[in-house]
Amino acid sequence: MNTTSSRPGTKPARYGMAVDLDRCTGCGACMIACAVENNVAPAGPDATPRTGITWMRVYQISNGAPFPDSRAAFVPILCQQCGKDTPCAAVCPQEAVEVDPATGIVDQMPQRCLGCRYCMTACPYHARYFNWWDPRWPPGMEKTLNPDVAPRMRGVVEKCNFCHGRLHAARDRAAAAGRRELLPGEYVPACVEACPAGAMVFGDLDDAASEVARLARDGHSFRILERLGTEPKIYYRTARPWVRQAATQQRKETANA
Amino acid sequence: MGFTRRDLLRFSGGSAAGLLLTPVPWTLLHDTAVLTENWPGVPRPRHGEIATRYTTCTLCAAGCGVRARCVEGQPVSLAGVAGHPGSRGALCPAGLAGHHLTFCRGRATEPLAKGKPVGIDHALASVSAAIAECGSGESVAILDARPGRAASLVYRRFLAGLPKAVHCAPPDAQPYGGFGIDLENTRAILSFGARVLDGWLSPGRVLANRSCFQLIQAEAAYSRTASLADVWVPLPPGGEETFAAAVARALQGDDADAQAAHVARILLHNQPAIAIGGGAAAARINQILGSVGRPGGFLPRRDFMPATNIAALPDHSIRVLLIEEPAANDSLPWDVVARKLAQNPMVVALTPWLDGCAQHADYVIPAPVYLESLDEAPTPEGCTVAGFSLSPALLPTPPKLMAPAEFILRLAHDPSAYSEILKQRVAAIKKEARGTIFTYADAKSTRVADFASADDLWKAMLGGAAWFDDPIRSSRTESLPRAGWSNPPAVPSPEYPLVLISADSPPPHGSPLMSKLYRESGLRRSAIAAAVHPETGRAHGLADGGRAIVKIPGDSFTAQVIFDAAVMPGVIQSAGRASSPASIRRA
Repeated sequence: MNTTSSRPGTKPARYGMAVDLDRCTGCGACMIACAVENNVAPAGPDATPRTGITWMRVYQISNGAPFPDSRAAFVPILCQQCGKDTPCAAVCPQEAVEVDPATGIVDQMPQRCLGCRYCMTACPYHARYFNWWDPRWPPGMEKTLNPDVAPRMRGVVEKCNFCHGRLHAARDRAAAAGRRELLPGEYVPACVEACPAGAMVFGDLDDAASEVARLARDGHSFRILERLGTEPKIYYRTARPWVRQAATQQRKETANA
Repeated sequence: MGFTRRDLLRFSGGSAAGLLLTPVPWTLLHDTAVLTENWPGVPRPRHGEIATRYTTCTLCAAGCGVRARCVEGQPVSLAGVAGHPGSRGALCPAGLAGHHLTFCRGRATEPLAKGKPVGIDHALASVSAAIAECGSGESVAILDARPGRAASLVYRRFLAGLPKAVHCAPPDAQPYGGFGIDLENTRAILSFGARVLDGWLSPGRVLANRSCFQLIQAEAAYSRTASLADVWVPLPPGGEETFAAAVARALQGDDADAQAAHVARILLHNQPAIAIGGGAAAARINQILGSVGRPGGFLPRRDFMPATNIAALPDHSIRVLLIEEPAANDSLPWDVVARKLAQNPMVVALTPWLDGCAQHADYVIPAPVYLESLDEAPTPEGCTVAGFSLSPALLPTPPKLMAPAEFILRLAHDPSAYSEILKQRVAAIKKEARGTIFTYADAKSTRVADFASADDLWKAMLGGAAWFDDPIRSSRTESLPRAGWSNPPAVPSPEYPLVLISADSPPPHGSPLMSKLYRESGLRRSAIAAAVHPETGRAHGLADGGRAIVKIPGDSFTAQVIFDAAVMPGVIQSAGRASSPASIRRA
């Protein structure tokens, strides 16, 4: 990845997230906040867990033991923002996926996307979603759309971009205050802001003093499918060995169904 | 030399093949795709002046502070208010999407009599006449969704003028009576099925204190709370009393089984500890632990307004029942209500929705939903001091809608407006000059006494603020109310060999975006799923993923079967269903 800043005069950041699986209650606030922030439409009448669009999706995983020894945990899965050999970017024939060298964020440009879905096939995390239909909101609800984010059209792929609109807004605020660099906590994705359990921490992984960098170094932290070598920037943390084992050994994650 | 049909076919075929080698068809395909992708089917967000406004969530009893981002006055996103003493900056999923409620289907939009539109004056006259015709022994009742509000005072004032009247509340509306929970100092919680980590009190307050207390979750279902509890005690349905008795014995040093003794040890070693979840079981353990009236336990507060538990009223005693529909996150057990109605009753539903209690009502008075009208949030559930906040409207009130308190004021021929009643409440707070006002915009707390006038206080509260009383010093140690279990435990029988228990259920009314949780991700089961242990399923001839008919006394429903090894054998888990004996067979 090119680490040269695309914003001359500013230090490149490497935004990432740490998710504490021992605090996540599976309430789904992150999913709702994400959908509200990014103008993700409610399910159409034919949508299923396979075809619905959830940039942020919380899975329930189980230790597989029968009652009364069964145990469950909740794992929020979003685009893991792969920092090296980003699989979706590598396969896109349209240059519709870009890894921003200034932030490390993997961006999706729906205007360029032709809907081939190679990226969905390449993504090891199933964190990309295809618009099978035009987005539809119940009558009148279009008034509640976030003006900072354009709804995507039928026939294109979309995914989490760490609430890119919020990054721009934070940069605007910093510029208005005469700063070129963002302060820690000045830019936070909607899911992190909404998590009532405080299970998600966001920040610059390259800032050794940041909370997210500290959590990433924690002995209980791990990354999903780390062995693929794509350097994902989402770290998960748990002190429960079976949860880590289930997540890192690629055991089948089952939605609560 | 003529031009034959064969020549025509050759020419056409050659042209078609040749055309494929040119960019024309591909450009046409691309242009068509672009055209259809960008036709007006994709909505465009509204642009305009962006402003931040503040209000208080009234969707449940937690009373969380809300920061709304508005475009041209229309809320486009909601978030918690940082530093809010009650909600600690958090909102639940329903609260985050509360601004979508106004667009939900199934709204009551005009007064209805037996399903047909009527004028509001006609509805008022009919209800007044029915009240006047009440016989001796028959009462008029208002089912108050959330007692303790200024609206509740309106109801009580109206009922006080009637010969026989009851101000009542749903069975679980006041679980702790006039006490709050000093959660910040609690070190252990024994929960009998309370959703401690999934909707109990305010999520922000509970989760902020989670690392400070041990949690023992005793229930049949392996719930979300059970999954994160320090100890999960899988009780058979209805086994709460027996287990509580065993824990009580262990707490007093008597013999008990190993599990009860283990729980008792945790409670004793992590003092102060409390038991929650209702019923005599929790009350007895709290009594032994001395949890009432001490820090870390249940502390009394000033403003308690008791309402009669509707389940405690005599059966067939209510002639006219006015029901205030519970907010979106709560539900009303209609079977409990129906038992209380006299012969030929009149039921009036004061509700925003056509389903729920409106289905059983003779008259439906359409009410605004959250954010559509000025409302109030009383003391947050479990708060150790009295509280009050206004919930200013962020959306215009649709025509023909009337807040329940406004309807009762009209019924009482009281010319006051509900907003004036709220203003009187704020004036009373100013007059008493106790406590502090937390203003949402600047996250500052100011003593009530420091406000120059009641008008200033009213303006501050309209701009987004919450009042919290000063704590009281009291030696009240009376028993907690024993509310919580509105139905007796289900007991299996030869006809109904299984027990149906409730799983997490979708709120009866919520944002269309809740489909993300219930349908698009399967994070929470839909209302038509029935989970059983694989052994139980196979013993009843069921197949994983197949359809089954679940029969309960007086009712049956069809559900999709889910084999889940985490479900207790002999139990059916289905969302939104009250505990009941049940049988199941393949559909």
